[in-house]
Amino acid sequence: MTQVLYTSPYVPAEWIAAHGLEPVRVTPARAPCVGRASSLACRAGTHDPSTDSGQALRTPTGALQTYPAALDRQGVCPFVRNFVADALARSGPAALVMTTVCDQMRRAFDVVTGAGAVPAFLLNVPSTWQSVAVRRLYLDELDRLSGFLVRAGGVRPSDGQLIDIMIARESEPHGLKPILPVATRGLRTHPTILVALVGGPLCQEDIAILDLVAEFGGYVVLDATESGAAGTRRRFDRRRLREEPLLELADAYLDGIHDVARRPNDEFYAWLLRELAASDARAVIVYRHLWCDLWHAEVERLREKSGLPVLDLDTGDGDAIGSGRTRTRLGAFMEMLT
Amino acid sequence: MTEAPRQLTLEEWDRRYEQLDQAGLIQPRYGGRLSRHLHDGDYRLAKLRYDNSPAALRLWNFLLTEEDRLREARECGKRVVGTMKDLGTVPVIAYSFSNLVAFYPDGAWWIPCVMELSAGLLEIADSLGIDESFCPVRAMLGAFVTRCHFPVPDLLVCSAGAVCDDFSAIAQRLEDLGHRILWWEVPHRPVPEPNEVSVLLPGGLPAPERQVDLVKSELLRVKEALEALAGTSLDETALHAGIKKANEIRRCLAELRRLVYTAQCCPMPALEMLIAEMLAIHYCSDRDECLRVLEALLSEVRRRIASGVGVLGADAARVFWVNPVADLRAMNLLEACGGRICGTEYLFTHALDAIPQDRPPMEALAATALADPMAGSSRQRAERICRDIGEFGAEAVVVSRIPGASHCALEGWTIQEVVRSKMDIPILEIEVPPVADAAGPGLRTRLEALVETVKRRRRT
Repeated sequence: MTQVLYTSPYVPAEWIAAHGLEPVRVTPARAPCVGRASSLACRAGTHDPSTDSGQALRTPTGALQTYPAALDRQGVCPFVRNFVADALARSGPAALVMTTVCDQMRRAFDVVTGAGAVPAFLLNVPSTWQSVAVRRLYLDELDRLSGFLVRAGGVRPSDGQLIDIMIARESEPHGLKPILPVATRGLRTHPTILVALVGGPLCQEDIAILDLVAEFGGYVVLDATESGAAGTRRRFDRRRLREEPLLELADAYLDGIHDVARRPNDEFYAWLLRELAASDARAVIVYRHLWCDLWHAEVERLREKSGLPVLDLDTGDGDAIGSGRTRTRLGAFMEMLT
Repeated sequence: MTEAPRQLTLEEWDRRYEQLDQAGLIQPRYGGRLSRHLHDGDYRLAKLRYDNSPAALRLWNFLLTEEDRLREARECGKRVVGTMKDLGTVPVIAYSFSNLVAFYPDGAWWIPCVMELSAGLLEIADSLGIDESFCPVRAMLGAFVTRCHFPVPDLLVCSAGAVCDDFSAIAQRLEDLGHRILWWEVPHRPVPEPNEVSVLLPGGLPAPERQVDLVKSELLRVKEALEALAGTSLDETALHAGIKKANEIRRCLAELRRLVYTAQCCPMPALEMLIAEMLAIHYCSDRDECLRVLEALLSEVRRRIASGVGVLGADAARVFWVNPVADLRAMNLLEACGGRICGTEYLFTHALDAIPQDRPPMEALAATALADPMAGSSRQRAERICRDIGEFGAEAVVVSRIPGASHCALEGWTIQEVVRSKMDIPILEIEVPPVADAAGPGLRTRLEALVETVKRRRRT
């Protein structure tokens, strides 16, 4: 089945699947070292030595894929860079769906389309939520996305087909689970310091933070990252789903996702403080990517609002979870809590 | 008292001021020596070079007395609106009320430069968790905390959506300090689908009609809030009149830009032109006087062009400048290196283009807001830049990165890529911090290299 790649939680997988395409939410792998397109290719074992300009990736099928060199520039969010590189290095994606939630991803869309590597779509996700017109914008965008999916080889679904897909996906065992199995990782030893993980999206290797926390006598009891609970839609309302499936789909995503990028983002904090209280977390680790202003600006607010000790853990391409810097910072933080 | 056009230091301006004053120069009530602003802590003024015309003196005094004007307006019973991020649209509505004044707290981003970091605003931002990895607009937070640089507005309005993350995050932090904000959505502006009803925006870009409708409904929320603040409703006639007045200013500025950027010999320096362009955003808190200030500049420019004189040599390299600079001195530096400005894109072209007067006013304003270069793709922004490069005859481009700005890393690359593919001219990318003295030698070398490249290309 033709794959449609995305990473933002606002992209409704059910809508893509209902078009007869395979939605693939990408959790990108981190580049092994800063920058260089060629190193990204090496990571995937796809480096083509004939293109040492670092401008091309060879996909597993042997096709050369253009890698936009712009992504190696200083100031580019590592997650955005890794997502685009990871998506482009995969074989045969029919399309890429990106969103406007952050400025960097929005600008990366320009770079991806400029390179012409793969058909791409930019889903407009509203920042505000107060007016009906703004909610309508998201619904209109799903309609526009449908046109794109049809051009990518999909077929516009009937209401009945959409309903079936929504019900089927909700029934899947991992349908509403976070993309990284946070709660199943890490050793819960005694005495254990319960901490919450908060922040933007995670890369594949980032899950190692759970083990690192455990190594220092802690346990991640709440994953409130974008890859975790914060970026998970609510359950569908079964009755409304049958009456107005597309509306219900849109609302489940808009209302279910707790997003720090909303303006204002009071609702995010109301949700987070509830979750923190329920989880008994004694401290918060804010795990954010370098150059992510949206999360960086929240660290101090989170400290004030939660009243808990907060560790601001920023990571760039070169900062693997086990790196000295991250380990030392985390270790000192955990030591302070004991 | 006419003097050949040239650039002066602040000290030289004082002497010139004496001469003008003795010769009977008539000044507005905010007039006076430029050096008096040094006593307010505007230390950067001592390091800038200024145009020597009375029109430029008036421009600078107008700019540097805005805080007084805002406080006077409040004392006279007017309500103060702080409008943030949209750069040019909400003030058109606000100034259509007789008892409102609007300004951009965003403008605080120049305070660290003008006061040479002496105001401590960036340190306050640091203490609030907004460090130097953010754009210098973080100074706005400090200005709200100290309450020293503008009166705290009675209403704060901020656009969200297709804006830069820095500003959005900083504004959210501001709201958390107790300054309630009315947020309104400006969505990303996609290229209309082939079968989609679209409209042409000011500046010539198309947008889906549904998006104009959305922004119109958002602006109606803003208008209602302004009506509540003003205690009176705003009818279409008053709004039409507000748009007409805004367009008078925009037309005056358009003519000023056309004349200055296409003149054979540069008739007005880059720094004064940067400030003149900024006036279009919110009229520096006095719409009528703003027009008079611009008209005076325009008269001076016309006079100089007619006399065939200018402030720079006729061989100055013609440079198109992208993005505003955090340190005003950078504009002087370009000229000291042998360049001149021939075209600009300071992120607010939508505040320079005329607002359509043949459409219902709220629809026209929605179209204007949606024409924001930040709302669309970087490629569209770059294409507008290419068009303007052609119109003004620029020979090179400087893309000035804003330190810490979330959009600059990728946007700058796209702009360079598009300009390279369409225009056969050299491009230079630089980054200018709020006080660029330490970076000065490096910046100078790079700008000199650009100017040399332009002049060598002329010979070949």
